[in-house]
Amino acid sequence: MLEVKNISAIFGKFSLRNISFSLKDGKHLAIVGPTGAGKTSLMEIIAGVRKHQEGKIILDGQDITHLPPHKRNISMLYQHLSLFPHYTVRGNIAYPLRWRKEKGMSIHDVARNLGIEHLLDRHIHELSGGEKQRVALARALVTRPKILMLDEPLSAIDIVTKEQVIATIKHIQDTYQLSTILITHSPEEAYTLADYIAIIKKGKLVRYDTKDSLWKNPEDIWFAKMIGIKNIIPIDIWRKMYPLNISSEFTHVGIHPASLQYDVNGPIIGYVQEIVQYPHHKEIIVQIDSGVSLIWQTNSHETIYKGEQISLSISPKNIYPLKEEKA
Amino acid sequence: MFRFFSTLLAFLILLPFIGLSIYTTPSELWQALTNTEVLEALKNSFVGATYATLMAAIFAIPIGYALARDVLRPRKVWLALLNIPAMVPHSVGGVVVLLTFSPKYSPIGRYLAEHGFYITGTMLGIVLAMWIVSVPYFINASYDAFKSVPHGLEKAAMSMGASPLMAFLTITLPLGFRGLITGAIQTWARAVSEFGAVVMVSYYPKTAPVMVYELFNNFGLKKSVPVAVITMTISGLVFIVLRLWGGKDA
Repeated sequence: MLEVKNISAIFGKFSLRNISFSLKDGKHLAIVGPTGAGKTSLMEIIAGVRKHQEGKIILDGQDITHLPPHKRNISMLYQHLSLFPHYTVRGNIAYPLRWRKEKGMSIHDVARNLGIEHLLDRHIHELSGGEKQRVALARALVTRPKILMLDEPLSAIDIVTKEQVIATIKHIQDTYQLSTILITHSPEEAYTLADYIAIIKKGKLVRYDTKDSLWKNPEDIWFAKMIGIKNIIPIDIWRKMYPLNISSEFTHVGIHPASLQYDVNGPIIGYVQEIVQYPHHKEIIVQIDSGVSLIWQTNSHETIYKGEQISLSISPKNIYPLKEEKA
Repeated sequence: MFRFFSTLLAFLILLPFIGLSIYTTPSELWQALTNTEVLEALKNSFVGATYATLMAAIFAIPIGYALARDVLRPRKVWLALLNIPAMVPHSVGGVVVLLTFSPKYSPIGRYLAEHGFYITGTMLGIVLAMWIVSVPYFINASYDAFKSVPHGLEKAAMSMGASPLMAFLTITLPLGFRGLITGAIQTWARAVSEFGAVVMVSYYPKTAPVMVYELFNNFGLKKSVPVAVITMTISGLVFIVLRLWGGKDA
């Protein structure tokens, strides 16, 4: 189990303040938060490549706070992969074994597992984006780490490659029995790849929860935006269409686009403003009041036209009351 | 259009050098090549420049790295200071070397003299004079070379267990190697061609530029041309070999 206890660090004008959480073996955590919130800094502190002023990091009961990176049994994959261009794929995968030979896997085993055995003698510039991702993952896994940390692994790749990499990460999570810590801006990625979600805001850990409870109870507008709730509707407008009995402390409701359903008798009535087609679904922007629209995500083959009036419905359990954003 | 102007410019640059070569005869060249004084001057220039380049590397590689990684701050001020020797007249560089290392003018010079190291009239003086005027070229090239290597690669290497030194030796240095070779070539070429600082610090033993100047002064242009052609040819050959060794981008 990884335990992060009261980590505080100052980097110039920015600081991380009193961050604590724990992660059980084999569980997966996504750290989300706006750009500059301190996600990568926190990950580097856990990996041991960045110094901090206060707090402890404990892995399986052992205090690793002051251990050098290679003695922590934690691997880290940076956002830009940081593959070494002057080495071949084999040279890249072998690199960490130079410094920690004792527990390494065979290069062929890890390459076979990730489907890159045929690329071992290639140079990095000869690889596609997806192949580079798998090489970087192989290099991170070859030392049999207890924890694999991934810094926005899906941020700079195309949709097809992204799906392959998500599949590869899930394969790694299942095959290697390790814990992963994933930094991401994307709520979808967090939801797909993690059991827990930690939200960091201005250097503070403001929420740590299972993904389901966070998804079902975002609490306020800021959290709702962070976890990807795209529809945040003022409560007075919502009540015009949909009677709702909630406390006055809630000012908005949050609705996942996929929770809405096409229903000719539905209470939510609006006009189709725009239709955006994605590979596996479409998003339809529906104007429900003057200046207020919501996004409806659907796989339906129903023919819908721009400008058409449509009706939607939603189950009450999928309407999340939201408070104003805390300062 | 680009090709035309590039060719014209190259022609204008090379014309005086071609002219220099046809201004002498093979027998005059052979005579110069078999003259022990000329050979000694050539040796002093090339050996001195090589030592000056090695000395420059010792300083420029760590300084360039520290500047590239923002360890030396403010970077612009440091770069401006370290480039002063390249900006002042080179005779001023000679004055600086004399004032710093001559036993007559400084405690450092007196200390060195007590231990048998003299600057004026020695090879050590030549190397120091060459070094002071050429080291900025190596520092600038080293800074550019290391700046071009993403810091993330080093951090990744360290996260995998490499010590900072090993991350530098296995990642940063090989990736910056071509840039460093470029710096070495520029430094060496500058050191070989140095006249002003060298003549101030150490007229004897003579270097090739000093010899060209002396021959011109005493016997006229005709006598100085063969030594100039030999110096130019050897420098050109070394330059080409180093470029090829350093790769196409060096």
